[in-house]
Amino acid sequence: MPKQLKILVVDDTEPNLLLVSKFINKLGHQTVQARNGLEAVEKFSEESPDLVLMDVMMPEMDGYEATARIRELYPNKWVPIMFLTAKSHDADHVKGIQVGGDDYITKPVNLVILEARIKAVTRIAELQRQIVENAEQLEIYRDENERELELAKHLIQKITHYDYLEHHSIQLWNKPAQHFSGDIFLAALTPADEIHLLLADGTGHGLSAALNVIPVVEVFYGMTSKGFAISSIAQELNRKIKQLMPIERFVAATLVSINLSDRIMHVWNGGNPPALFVDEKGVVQRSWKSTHPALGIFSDAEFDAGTELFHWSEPGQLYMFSDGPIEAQNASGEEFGLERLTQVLASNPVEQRYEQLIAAIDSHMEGLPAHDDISIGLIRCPVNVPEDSPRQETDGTQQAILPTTDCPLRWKLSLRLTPSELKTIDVVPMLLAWMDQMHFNTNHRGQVFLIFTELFNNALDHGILEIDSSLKNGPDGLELYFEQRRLKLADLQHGILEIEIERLRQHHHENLRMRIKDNGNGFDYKSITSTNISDSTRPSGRGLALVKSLCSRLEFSGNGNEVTVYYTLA
Amino acid sequence: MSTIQITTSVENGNARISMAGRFDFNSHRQFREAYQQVLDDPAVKELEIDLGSVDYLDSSALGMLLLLREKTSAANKLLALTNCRGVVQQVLDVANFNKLFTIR
Repeated sequence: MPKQLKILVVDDTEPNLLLVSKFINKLGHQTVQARNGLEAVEKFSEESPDLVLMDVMMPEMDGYEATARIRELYPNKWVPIMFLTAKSHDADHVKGIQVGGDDYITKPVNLVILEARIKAVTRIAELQRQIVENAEQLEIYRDENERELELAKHLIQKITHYDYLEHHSIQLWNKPAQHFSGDIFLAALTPADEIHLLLADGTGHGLSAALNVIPVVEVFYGMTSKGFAISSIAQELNRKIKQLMPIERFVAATLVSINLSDRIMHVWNGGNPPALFVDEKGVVQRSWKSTHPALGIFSDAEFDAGTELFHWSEPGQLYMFSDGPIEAQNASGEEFGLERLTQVLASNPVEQRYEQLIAAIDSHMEGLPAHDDISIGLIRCPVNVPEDSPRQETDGTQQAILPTTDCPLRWKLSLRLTPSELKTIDVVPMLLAWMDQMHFNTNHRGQVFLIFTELFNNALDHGILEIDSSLKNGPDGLELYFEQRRLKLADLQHGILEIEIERLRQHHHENLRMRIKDNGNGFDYKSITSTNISDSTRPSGRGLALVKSLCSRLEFSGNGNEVTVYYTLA
Repeated sequence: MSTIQITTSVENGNARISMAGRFDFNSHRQFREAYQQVLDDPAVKELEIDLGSVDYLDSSALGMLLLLREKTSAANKLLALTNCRGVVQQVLDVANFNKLFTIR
């Protein structure tokens, strides 16, 4: 508000009008004059005064009505109006204030008091103006912010759902604390049809938390589609977040891979509440507590990507949580808690469990806003999944012919792996990635991935690590097997594994030839390969039978420590 | 909107930063001011963050502790978290902070 005010003086008595105007001019302010209520309203509109001195008793329209009219016309523009009144009855003052007046001065006007009142009103008006201005600025800022948030929300939604797998056995519930969720839940299939899941919770809430998890998305989808194991994905995610984000920004994550046909899952949990495997009766069969710090804290060398393995023999459900559901508070600040959560899971029939859990959390919160993003992922794990025939990714139509297939690239790749490589490299995805660079036809990816994986694992597990596959028989066989594989690989000192892959033309067909040789003792391959593929009761030998069914030729040589397969591409 | 009280005491090169209340994102400025003061003090050899009266701590608070961990090691000082109880203990457990901090 300027130091010099524009003051509207309203009075039907000329001497009063002159006296007050003169005095005000002497104080250094400007005056505008009106001689009745109507004129006052007009002048107010034309001149936009900073203050009005309003006589009450006037012809045409009295001061009360003029004031009421001004307030009606300009509801959002507060200009102080002071009544000059000969009446000193309380009722009149009340009426003046009711119609929108702010103050009054009794006539005859005491100039000293008038000056003081003008100053006081000026101070209030200044505050008022400041508030209006701030409110306007806030509103502009809020609108801009809303627009930017909308865009960011759209982008984040698109990025996180870009490759999201819609799968009948997966459900997700997410309730963000603000516009944004710092939680993301991703699901994707590997080339071998395993399900990979990631529940990630970035530090804090809202937009900045959502930004934290963006780098995660691309790595997860990219590496899953190339067939990397979740331990490799965890390692890479950690490296990436550490590299991109400031130290105080990290991402708690639960990573899971699920093989529905073998009924095996691997879990890595860093910083999230326990993932739970609950059977049909509601009993928690297995819980995976957080055994690592969150992603983005440890350096690459310190990071531990070790996963925990579980083989389910009874159907059940896997539940994954961010800390939101556990920490959801009611009005008295009491948390929902893990105990209450497992109680809800235990006391509800399997088909209603998920909905009941969500309802229980919702009712616990009593309609209060969530402090933190709430995410719950559910994956149903049956036991009667039919042994899948290898996926045909074509939809019956002939595969798209790449320009390169007219004159396919010919190549041959040879690798010789010693213990130090075998311990550190995820070999099969690396091979596939290399073949992708050679314009390898992606329609065969799934099958080739399966073949490579089976043959490579056979050579490594039995040829080099000398693990007996009969170990898999028995209730905890698979766990024991994988544990032993982990230990033996970590201690491996000797052993050589040779891989040769070649793309060649034979008998009018495009073929992929793959040879794997280890320096182990071989095995009685004649008995294994005669296993009927439909005999899926035995945990060993199935893999090889599967490979045989996919390839045009499979030959063992040496003492069984060398295998060559031919796969028809076209 | 901060609901944290922070008091700092220093004796024989030991700085104790005692925190009470809700340790979350709103504590950011106060917490930083408190530790920066003792980090800048060459007489201080060890920082102790006393969480005994903290009744809640969220992931932003964990982030602030990580940042402090980095700054104390850059300043060649020692760092310990002490008197972790109840919810605070649980949150630190889930985050596996025992692998990163000395917790007494």
